[in-house]
Amino acid sequence: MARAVEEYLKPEVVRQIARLDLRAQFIVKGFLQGLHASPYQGFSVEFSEHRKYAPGDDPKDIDWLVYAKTDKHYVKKFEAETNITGYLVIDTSASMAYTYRQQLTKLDYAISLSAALCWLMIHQQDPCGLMVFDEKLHASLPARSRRSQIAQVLSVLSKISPSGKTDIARSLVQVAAMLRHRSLVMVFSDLLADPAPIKDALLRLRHRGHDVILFHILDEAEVRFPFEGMVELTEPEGRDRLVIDADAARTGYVAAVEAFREEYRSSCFRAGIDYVPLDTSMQFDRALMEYLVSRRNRF
Amino acid sequence: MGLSFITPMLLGGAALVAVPIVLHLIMRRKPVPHEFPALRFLRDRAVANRRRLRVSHLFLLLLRMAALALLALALARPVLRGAGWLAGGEGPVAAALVIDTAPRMALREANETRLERAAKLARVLLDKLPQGSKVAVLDTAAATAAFAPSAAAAAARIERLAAAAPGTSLPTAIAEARRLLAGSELARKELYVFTDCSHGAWDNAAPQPEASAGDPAVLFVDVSAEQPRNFSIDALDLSGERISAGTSLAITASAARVGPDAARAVAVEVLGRDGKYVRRAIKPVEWKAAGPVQVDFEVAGLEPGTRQGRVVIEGSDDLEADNARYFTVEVGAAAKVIVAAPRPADRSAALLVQAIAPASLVKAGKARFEPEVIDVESLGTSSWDAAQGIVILDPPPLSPQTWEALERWVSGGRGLVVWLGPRAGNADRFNTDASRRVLGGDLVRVWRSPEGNYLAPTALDHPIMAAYRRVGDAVPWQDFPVSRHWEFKPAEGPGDAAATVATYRNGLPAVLDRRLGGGNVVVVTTPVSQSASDPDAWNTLATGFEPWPFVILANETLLHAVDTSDDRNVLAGAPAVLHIDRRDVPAAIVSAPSGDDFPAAVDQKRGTITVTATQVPGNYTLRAGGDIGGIARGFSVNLPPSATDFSRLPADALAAVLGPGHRLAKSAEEIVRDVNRERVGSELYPWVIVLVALAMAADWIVANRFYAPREGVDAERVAAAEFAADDSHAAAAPPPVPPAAPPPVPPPAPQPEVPA
Repeated sequence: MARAVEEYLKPEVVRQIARLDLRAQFIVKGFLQGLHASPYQGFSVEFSEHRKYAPGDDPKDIDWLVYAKTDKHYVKKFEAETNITGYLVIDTSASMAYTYRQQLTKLDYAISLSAALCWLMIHQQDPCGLMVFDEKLHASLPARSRRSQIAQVLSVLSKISPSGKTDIARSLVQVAAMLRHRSLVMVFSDLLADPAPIKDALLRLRHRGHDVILFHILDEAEVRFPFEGMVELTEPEGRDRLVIDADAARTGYVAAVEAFREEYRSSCFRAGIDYVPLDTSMQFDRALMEYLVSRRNRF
Repeated sequence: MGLSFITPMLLGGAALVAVPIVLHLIMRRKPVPHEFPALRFLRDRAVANRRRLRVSHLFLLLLRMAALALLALALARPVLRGAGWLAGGEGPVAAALVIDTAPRMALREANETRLERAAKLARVLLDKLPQGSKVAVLDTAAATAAFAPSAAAAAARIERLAAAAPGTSLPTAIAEARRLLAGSELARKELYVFTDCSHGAWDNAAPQPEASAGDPAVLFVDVSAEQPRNFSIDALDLSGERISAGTSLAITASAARVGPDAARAVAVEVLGRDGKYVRRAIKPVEWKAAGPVQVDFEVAGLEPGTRQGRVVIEGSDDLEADNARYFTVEVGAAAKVIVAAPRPADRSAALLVQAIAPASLVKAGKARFEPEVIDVESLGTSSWDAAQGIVILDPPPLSPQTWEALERWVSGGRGLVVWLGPRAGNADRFNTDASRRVLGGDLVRVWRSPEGNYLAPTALDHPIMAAYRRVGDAVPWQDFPVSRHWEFKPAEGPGDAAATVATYRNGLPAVLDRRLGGGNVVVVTTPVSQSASDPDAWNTLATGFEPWPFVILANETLLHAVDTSDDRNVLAGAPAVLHIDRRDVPAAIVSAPSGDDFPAAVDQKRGTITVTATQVPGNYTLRAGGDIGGIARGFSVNLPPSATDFSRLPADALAAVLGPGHRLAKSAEEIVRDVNRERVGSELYPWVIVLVALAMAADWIVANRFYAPREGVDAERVAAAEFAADDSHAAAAPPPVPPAAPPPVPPPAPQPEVPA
């Protein structure tokens, strides 16, 4: 059964669920189910204790099962009572709409992942906000922990359409300027831009006291370079063209990508940023686990 | 060697190499387009990659061109063959078979002679000749170069070939064959040379020319013996071809051997009146070293007349032709010689007469010469018919009539020896046209050398000087000083000039010799007619202490002058000239050793008989004028040393003489293989096809490396295969349809503090 549930963490399975809210539930529930057998058991929205209802408590927290047995009002208290404000920051540039042979584009992957994280956070009473950018920030939802926030976030996510170039650094600077409280900023981007300003922007975020998780999402083809023979490659944002012999270029390309990731990994490590390299063929649990670990480390 | 094509028209297919070039230029395959955001990681490497791509394309282009060109080449069916390749493989050929028929080819091994083996291999060749071919068979006996009327006639000619004394050398026969082939209108020419590769065949031969287009294809067929066993008499040395009755004949035979055996017997046999050989002596011979052994015989008691004999080696061996050598000597009364001396003739001629006919030998009847001394002044009036030679001592200027009479007489096959002296007087008076014609030169002046001049021969090659070889440098010429002598200037022109036989120490000629018609003239430029007491004596040659060198000189000059009239011992193939005194005999019958008799005409003018049919070695007899009172003469024919020298040339010397790029076959199989290769050639089709396959395989591999699978089906297939192979997608196959209801939310943990 557990194995069957884990299937839901796979991108190609998740893609078959059209509704984004269901897709988010799917991912999270599959993830949580899997956790029972994992060493991370307990790091969840664990029930902690009951206490007597007092005026001011949210009536929705009243445990009606206990009331049915005892005829008294008790409120469920959860362990993670102390909440963390999370912001999902998603890159929607044209390059994010790319996939070569996977079920999900990088953007689909980012959306699914962020939806799942949103669902998870809201169910843990964590306020969750959303920011979308390409060359600049152009949509945002303030962080809230209400259940209705899920619907709002998903509504925005479902309307995202990839377009144009990207300016990650500038967008992150904007994000930093907008956030007043210490938050958990989860950035979803392919980072296909000049790394220096991006790293500066990430440092700036970090400097303001925010925790940052950088989900570096690349397409599986961008990681493995599966092309063969003569290929003419076109860049979706700049429309640059290149005709090369794929077989000859593969080794060098893979090494270059690995070096690129390694550069970010080491920079992020020094800055205290969680760097999560992902590709669109990977399961979602890796990203979710990263979030939970990061969250636990905060308390 | 050359390259030809069975279907050369198909070589035009090589023009198809243009196709890949055109395709390369105008139909360059488009690269598969892809969108790819992470282009920035590729840009740096693009330049190097593009260069490699261009090289790869060029390589691929060359491979495809090579495949097409090789395919065209293979279809044209290239054939590798030798010279004369312009002709078709199966067309008629002009072939010349040159077969060495020298006596050494009679060398027997494995129960067949070299000649029989050559004939056998030649028949193999004849069988392989295409229809309509022209064949010529040449041998070294005659070397008549002509195409046989048919192959059967050529085969019959080969059957008739027999070892015989060579009329020509093998290289000459080959040159004749080349000339014959060059004149043939057939395009393909083949020359086959059957040789035993011996010293005898190839010594002193110029290297064969290297074959070029148009020249005949030459194949040498080696028929030499592997391990010959042979004994031979290489040479005979007679003490003289003319001996006096009662004296013995000394014979030195040189016996040689090849092979392991080291002991034989050598015998000397003399031909009796009944035509059978009578053994006169036999000696065992043992070879201790590799070289020849000298065997000496002394044959005494030869009857007067022409006597013939042979030296034979006993027992059988592989080559019989060199087992015997023949000789002919003239045994008879002393030769009549006229000695014309100045007055008093008896005294002035005494020293010479004593030297050529010592009184003791005359008394014993063993003298070589019978001298008749006359006054030199009466020379012109004397009868010379009975004499065989004239010696003129210290002649005065003679009348032209006398010189002319002498010229006629000497030309008829007689000898003249002139010892010049002070009586010649004035050179200008002495020299006349007539004297010049006889002596072959002019007197110039008298040289005076008070001391220190004497006869000093530098070489002992001439027959006159050969007698001194036994003592060599030990001749005490310096004990016989020559204080005066004539300077004799030989006439200009090669035919008339007298040749210098020996010189004085001052380098001027002392003894000269010239051929005049059938006779000889010997001139000595200092006299021997002066007495020891003469204060004006020019020399002490004859008057010194123990003047044995003079005795030899006097005998040898006279022998040389009178004894060259007949060719008694000749080499096979060379003409033998015999003199007949009687002019009333029109012809003579020659009996050859083969048993054949044939007539030979007498040259009435010269009084000579010339026999040219001397191919068979042995003793020939010549008879004319009936048995009683007739003429009975004879001569011996021996093979030249090269005719029996079958010792094989060293490999490098053979390679040098056969010329660069020569082909040498030994067995019938090798001949057939070589002929096929030359005539049909070796087809290269399989090899070229292998090259085509290699080129196409290389093209396939390279192309598969360079070009990606086609877009569409191929790409999907490859992607799916890779996807399935990836571990992280191991269970990717049919994804389960998500359950209608989401999996249950994990149940809340037990509630520890539920109030009761």
